[in-house]
Amino acid sequence: MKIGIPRALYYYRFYPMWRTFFAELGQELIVSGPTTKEILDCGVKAAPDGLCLPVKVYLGHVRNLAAKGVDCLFVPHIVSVEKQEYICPKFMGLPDIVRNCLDHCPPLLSPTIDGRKGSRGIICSYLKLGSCFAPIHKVIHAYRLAAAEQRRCERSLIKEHNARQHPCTQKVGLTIAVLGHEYLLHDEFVSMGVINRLRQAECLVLTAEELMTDTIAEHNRFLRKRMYWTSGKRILGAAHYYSAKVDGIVSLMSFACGTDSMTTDLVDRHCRRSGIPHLVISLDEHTGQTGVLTRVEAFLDLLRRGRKHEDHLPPYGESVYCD
Amino acid sequence: MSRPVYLGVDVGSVSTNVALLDAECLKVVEKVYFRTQGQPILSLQRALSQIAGRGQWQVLGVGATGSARRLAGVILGADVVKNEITAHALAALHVEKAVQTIIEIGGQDSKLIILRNGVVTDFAMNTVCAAGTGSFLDQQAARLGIPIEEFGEIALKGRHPVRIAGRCTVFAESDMIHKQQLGHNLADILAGLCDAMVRNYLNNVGKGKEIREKIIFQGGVAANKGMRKAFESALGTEVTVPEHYDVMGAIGAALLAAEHLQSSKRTSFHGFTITESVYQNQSRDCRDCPNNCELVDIVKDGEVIASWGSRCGKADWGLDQISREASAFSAMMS
Repeated sequence: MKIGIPRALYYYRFYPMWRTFFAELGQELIVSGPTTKEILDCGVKAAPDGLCLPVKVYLGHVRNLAAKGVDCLFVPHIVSVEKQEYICPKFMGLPDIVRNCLDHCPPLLSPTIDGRKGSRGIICSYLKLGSCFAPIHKVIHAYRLAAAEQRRCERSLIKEHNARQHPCTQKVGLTIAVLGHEYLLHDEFVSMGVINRLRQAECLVLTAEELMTDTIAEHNRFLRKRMYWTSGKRILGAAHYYSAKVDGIVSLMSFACGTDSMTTDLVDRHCRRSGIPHLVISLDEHTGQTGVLTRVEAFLDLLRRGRKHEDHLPPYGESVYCD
Repeated sequence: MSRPVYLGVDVGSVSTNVALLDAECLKVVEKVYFRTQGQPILSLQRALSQIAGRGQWQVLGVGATGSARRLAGVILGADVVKNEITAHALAALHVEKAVQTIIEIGGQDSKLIILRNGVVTDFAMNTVCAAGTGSFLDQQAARLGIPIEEFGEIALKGRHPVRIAGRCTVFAESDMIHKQQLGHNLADILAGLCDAMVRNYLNNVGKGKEIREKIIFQGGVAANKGMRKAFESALGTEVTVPEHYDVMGAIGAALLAAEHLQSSKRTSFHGFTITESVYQNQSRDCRDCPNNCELVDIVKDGEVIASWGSRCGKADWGLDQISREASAFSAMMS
């Protein structure tokens, strides 16, 4: 069977797992291509007005796949991927959104993935999903391999991060943490290639995916109440961790994102308290890149000119804010 | 004898500004403020020919800024192409060393720049919408049938500014019409409009920023005395409008050029003869991938001198300005 996976939203987090799982079960996977203007336009046309940009992009990818002639689409109904946490409520309704916004939609494979009470819930839903395709012992084997592959990929990111030397010791170039949902950061089109632009400007770019879950948890302890959005938790924890280690933090958020409206503000407050320059870029359906470029360029100027003036010491230390 | 100067150009959405700085004392020698009127190249040529006609200049360096800075950079052969924020900050620092806050409201965007000890520490620009910028004031002045130049004077006479919704300019407009139909006088409505714009600015652009004295208000909208007064009463402190408030971006660009050429080299300025060239730009769509990027060819006297607009970068060339930006960065680092 040809199973279509839209290259959007949680593709950017769980693709290693999905790829292995379906391949082990002998299914053919078709992933939509990288986001283009055509896909975005398609999604914007299909979506009701109130949806956020990433979900519109997702709908565009779904349509793109439907046109490619897949037998069914993998649109999981994800409720929670970590214990006692949730993901964005819009994603929970994703299968329903897809069904209602698109005509002539291929059948959906939409298992409920709910890890609120622990990983057992997640395992059960994958086993149930897999048993549509193969006998249970094969499914268990496939899940084991898939979970191992996911862990391997996540670890390799962390390893790569640790392999780079301690960022603060680097004299040349700036170290910048780019924070945001992975489906914004790594979608070259939607993010207007911010990460690559920073790299081209000789910056070392760090993201939240490179940090261990424990590190994130540790740096979220300051919160009086637990952050129960998985993605928000990662962003905030990473902001705390990185604020002592980088020259500046760039937050990418999508306009009209509910969780971002809170986490970005928390990150902003934290940056102000710790005196770290912070740039917030809100992304929407704009395709003109000038606005983003100007902001990024000015932010780099701020960091570099600051360094120059203060003899390579960060200009934003405590003393600057004291009268 | 020709006078040595640095040339700064700021081609924005609404106005095109040119400033000449004396190479010795870096004071403004000449300035021109032109309406862009949707034709950045033509207005740039006009502004330059005006400047050229006012004396004999030996241009030592050229800087370009503003939203059409790449275009201006290619046409001029600029030595430095820089974003508006850096340019505005430098210009304000040049005028007033102790500045800690810069409020800049232009035609399409508004900015807030925070400085401490002469270094930019934070900045903000209006986000996805252009609410609360000069073009809104322009529109409303046109709707009320008063020249924009008189807007501020009339607003100053308002004794009891009416409350106008400031969140969105579309709301503001309907609210304003409502107040006008109730019979409030023009001065009070205009004063209310200024208050609403300032409120909007401080809530959006200024959200969470620490605005400290000394405050400099620049950009085209700073000409509006009503806006200045509204800022002063909202912030409870004095707001300074510098002498050359309308061309601060251009001054900043000229300063950047001066800084850039200090270390080295000769300028890459094409000379004032560019005012006589004919530019015929062509747009075309790239069909190589589904992105359908809109490309622009910059054509000078029948010859394509630059081209850009592709996301992948393969159709972009003639932009050694960009690499010049990069080298300006690395020069700053050393």
